[in-house]
Amino acid sequence: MSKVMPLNQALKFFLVMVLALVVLYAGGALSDRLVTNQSAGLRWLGVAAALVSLGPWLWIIFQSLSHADEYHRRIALVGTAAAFVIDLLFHVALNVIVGAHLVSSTGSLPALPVAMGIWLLSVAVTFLYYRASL
Amino acid sequence: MKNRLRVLRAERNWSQLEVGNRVGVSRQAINAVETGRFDPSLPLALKLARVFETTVESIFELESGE
Repeated sequence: MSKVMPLNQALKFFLVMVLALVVLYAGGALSDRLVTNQSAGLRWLGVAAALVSLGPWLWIIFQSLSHADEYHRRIALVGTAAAFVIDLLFHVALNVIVGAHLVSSTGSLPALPVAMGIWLLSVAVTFLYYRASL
Repeated sequence: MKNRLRVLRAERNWSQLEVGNRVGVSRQAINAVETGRFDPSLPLALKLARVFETTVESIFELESGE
């Protein structure tokens, strides 16, 4: 049988997504406070908080992939590979643009939302590519 | 890679969803295999052969130049 998620599991999954958002926001806020502390130990704790706050999202991604069949895993894999290259090009281009004083160097883009946005966009484009290439 | 999945399915009057359920993948995966957008893994090809009571070679065939 194909892997179909029952309603109660889907609800649980949705709640975990909401929780993951809260943890991501709270972890980020906590990390921002800790990394400006005088104590090096607390600054390291801030680094750990930033990483741990990503944990629920990683769990969601692994759960999603474990419920996917090989076709959807292929889409996720190709999309992720494309996202890696696009993210790399984006950051190289941004650094050069800032270095060339084409944009203000004081402004900075949040790395995580940019990376997540690029990843989601890449997976979506890959999905459309696989659907369209008849 | 060419395949006879659509023909085999039509002979049995099975939907893509039904085939997907029998081999444990989604309807989209069967559709992608049928239309040649996605080459199945060896386990999936073997499962398809088992479901259609035939051999992998009689379902899938390399195109000239492959």
